[in-house]
Amino acid sequence: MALDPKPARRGDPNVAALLTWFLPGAGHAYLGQFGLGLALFALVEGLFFLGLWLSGGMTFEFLDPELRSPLAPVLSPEIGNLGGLLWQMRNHGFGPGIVRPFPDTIAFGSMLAALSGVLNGLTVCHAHTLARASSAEAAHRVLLPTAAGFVVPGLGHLTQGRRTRGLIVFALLMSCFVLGTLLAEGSNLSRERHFYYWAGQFGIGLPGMLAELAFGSARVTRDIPYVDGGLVFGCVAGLLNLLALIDVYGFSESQELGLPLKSSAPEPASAVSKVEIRL
Amino acid sequence: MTDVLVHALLFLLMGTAIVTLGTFYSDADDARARQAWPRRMLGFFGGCMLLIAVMLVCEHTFAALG
Repeated sequence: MALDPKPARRGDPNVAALLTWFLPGAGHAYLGQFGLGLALFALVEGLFFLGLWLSGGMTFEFLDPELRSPLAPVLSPEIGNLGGLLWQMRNHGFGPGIVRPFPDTIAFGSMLAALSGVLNGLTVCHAHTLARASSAEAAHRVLLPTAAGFVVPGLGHLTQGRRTRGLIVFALLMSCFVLGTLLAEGSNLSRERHFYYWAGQFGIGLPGMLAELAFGSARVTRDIPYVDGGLVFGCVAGLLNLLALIDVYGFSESQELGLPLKSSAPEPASAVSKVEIRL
Repeated sequence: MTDVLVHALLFLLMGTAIVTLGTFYSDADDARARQAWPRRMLGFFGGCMLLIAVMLVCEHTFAALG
């Protein structure tokens, strides 16, 4: 349902988005949605600190010493929860500088912390939409298909009624992810082994997380011939799903806020310009 | 030779996924996106072939390791 194209703003969308990026729920509180803000804060930060506890704050110790720069964690999903990431870097960083054993639950904990980053990314989008939408329900309707696209690639498009597009996204991205996992013989499912490829691959969403829980701890006992190809396929599948999520968000946003749809085709000449040409 | 073919096939698959998603991303209308897809595929893989040709020429002339 298209709403008024120019609804009254609840606040500045960019301020709401920035506040949420630093502190989950802060943008919603700024927009007057205190209850929702508090719930989102509890969800995102609860997930983040549970992940931090399970991983012992050692996620960034996966990085080789030569990669440990202040900007190294920027290319990780946790960047979506900037306040949490800064807190982690301040309190744990890259560890004490000595090799020490990782806790048994580090893979799962690290995954939860990364998930909190993605969730807060969605929360940022929700805050930005909420500031422009005429009702909180309209903002929910924009965000729900986007979140569905993270649960299963293509599901967001399907919920919007864009069946062909959803099926193409699902078929292509899942094929790339499965092929990548087969080529890499499951070694792509470990953040410890392939920190940055894993970060890109995380965008594939729930299928990637389930695959990691099932096969992520497999031991590599021999040389894998096509491991590089497998890593690239997994990583590109995740990054392309982020592109698909932006597409879902843009479509819902244009439907709810009455914005024009994106098109690569040139704008048709208006009746006025045709009259001018004739004159 | 088999290795080269496998790499070429993988590249074809990856390129198809990237071009297809890029095409659908750039146009919200499915029909227009489908219409633009062959041209985009041709542009992408044609450009890649051109780049391969240039690299092979370089490899066999002034950049030859031998």
